[in-house]
Amino acid sequence: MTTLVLILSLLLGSIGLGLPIAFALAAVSIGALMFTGADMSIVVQRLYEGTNSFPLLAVPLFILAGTIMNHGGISTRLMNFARALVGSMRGGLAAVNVVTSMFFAGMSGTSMSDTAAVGGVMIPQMIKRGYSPAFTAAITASSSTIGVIIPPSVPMVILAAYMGISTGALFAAGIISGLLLGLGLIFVGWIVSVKRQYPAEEPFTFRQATSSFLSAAPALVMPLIVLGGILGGIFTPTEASGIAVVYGIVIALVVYRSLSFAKLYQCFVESAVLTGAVMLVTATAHVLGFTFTYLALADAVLEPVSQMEFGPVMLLVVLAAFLIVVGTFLDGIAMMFIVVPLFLPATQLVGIDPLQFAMVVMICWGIGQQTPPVGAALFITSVIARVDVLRITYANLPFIAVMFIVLALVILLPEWIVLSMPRWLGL
Amino acid sequence: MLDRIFEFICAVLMAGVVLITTATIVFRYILQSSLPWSYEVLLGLMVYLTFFSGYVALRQGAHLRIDVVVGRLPLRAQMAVYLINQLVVIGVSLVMVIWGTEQTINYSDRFSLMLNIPQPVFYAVIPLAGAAMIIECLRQCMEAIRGFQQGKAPYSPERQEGEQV
Repeated sequence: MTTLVLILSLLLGSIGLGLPIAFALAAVSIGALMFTGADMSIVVQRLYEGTNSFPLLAVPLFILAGTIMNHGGISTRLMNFARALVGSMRGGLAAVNVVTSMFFAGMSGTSMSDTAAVGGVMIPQMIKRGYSPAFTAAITASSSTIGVIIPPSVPMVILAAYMGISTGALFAAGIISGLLLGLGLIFVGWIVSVKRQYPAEEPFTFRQATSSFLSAAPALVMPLIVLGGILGGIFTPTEASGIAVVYGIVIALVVYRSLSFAKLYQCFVESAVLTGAVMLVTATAHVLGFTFTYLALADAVLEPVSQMEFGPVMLLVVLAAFLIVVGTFLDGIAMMFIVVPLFLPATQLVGIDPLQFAMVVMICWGIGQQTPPVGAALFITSVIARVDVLRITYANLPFIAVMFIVLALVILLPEWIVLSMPRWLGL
Repeated sequence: MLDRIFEFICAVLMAGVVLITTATIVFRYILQSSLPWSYEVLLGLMVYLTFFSGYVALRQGAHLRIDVVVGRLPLRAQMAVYLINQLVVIGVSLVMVIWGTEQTINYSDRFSLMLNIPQPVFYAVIPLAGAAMIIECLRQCMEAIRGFQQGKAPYSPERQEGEQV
């Protein structure tokens, strides 16, 4: 137990003091392994094995697909279509914001490209139409969380590869929670808008809906291919990510002509560097995972669970609380890699489905993005909307409440919310 | 200039992943045959992309890190934390170099299953990236010390976190 506390505080302390996460995970593991006299070549082996994995190939490809969509002018068309669909509601632009994020989430694998792309266009528009900057930033930040939960999702690819479960099944498991989250955010945004008398946009017309649909159709086909292919069992997630890239390039370069070759090259460089940053964390996380196993640190969670007869629900509640506390101070990927190896053995003991466990981690990741001092989505939106982070957080509370409700549903009703989709699809 | 070359290599690795993945799909679904070598090449590319781009990310300061706290410390404290952090990065890289080289040499008589590529080709990127990271860290330290003498903080307050997933 003391070893565990020591290791956790070293991890939190060094990351909090600005040590890059990848190196913090590696350094603490190396220190602990050296102390116990383990052979250091295991470190290199784990680093290698942490990257040498076929499912993880989807990480660079989904990142690239997201970057291309971001630069390829696809977001504006999606937004126009969303506006034709839900803009006529009271607080129409708030709903448009959420719906666009949902479309986006179905194509790109990353939530940050989503926040930047949707926020960059939506936030100025909403402020101009009289929405308060804090509310605008809050709904943009919270709706970007959907990007983690609606597949395809890079965090899901990484977690599934780490846990050794099927990426496709985890994607399927995220669909219902993602839709519930989206609808919940729209509903809360609508209530706030009615109370504050925010404007509605132009009324729904069939003609506007069709014309904006036609303009967005080539982009909307993408989630159909990607998700349909994966969930229908036609493509592996890695193949689907490759198709997403090629399709994205064709759309941006040929159909919309919104991307030059020079910009495309920049997309490749940008995504390669981001891949390096993300994958190095994934690689060093394997060293940390080995250290946890080698030192039997998960016993600290395992023992009370086996003695006190912790039920699955109680264990998941503790897990979620732990994730949210750690996620407040760390970013999602570090939170995931520190907490998952600690709790995984105990959840297996109690018989929790790995998909349910993974979904709890994903939703807590989303909540962690919303909470200062470290919340990536918050910072991006606060820069665009020019409001300080605390005021956004205050306006964000009702939206965060929606996430907690979805989290509770995932914990309490796994059969319906999490497992029904993968079972129905036979994944 | 060097940065341009490194960026180009990153883009080529990325393009390699895209092209070969696409090729396997075309072969599997359209030509109804398979590319048996693609699996090994893709995994190799993935390892190279991780460690080489990981090095480039270090050059560009793109690694995921949280500097909201350190950014608020006084200049001297920031500098001290910065140097300690760089030292830790160098330590990790040193492990990559020493034991990575050992691993590469140990596997020198092993070959990959399909293409008969010697295993060291795959492993070598780890010690190489480690060595490059050490050089880069030392260069950054010199730069930071020079900046420190002119009163510049190593963690600038306007820079938030690195881009995240």
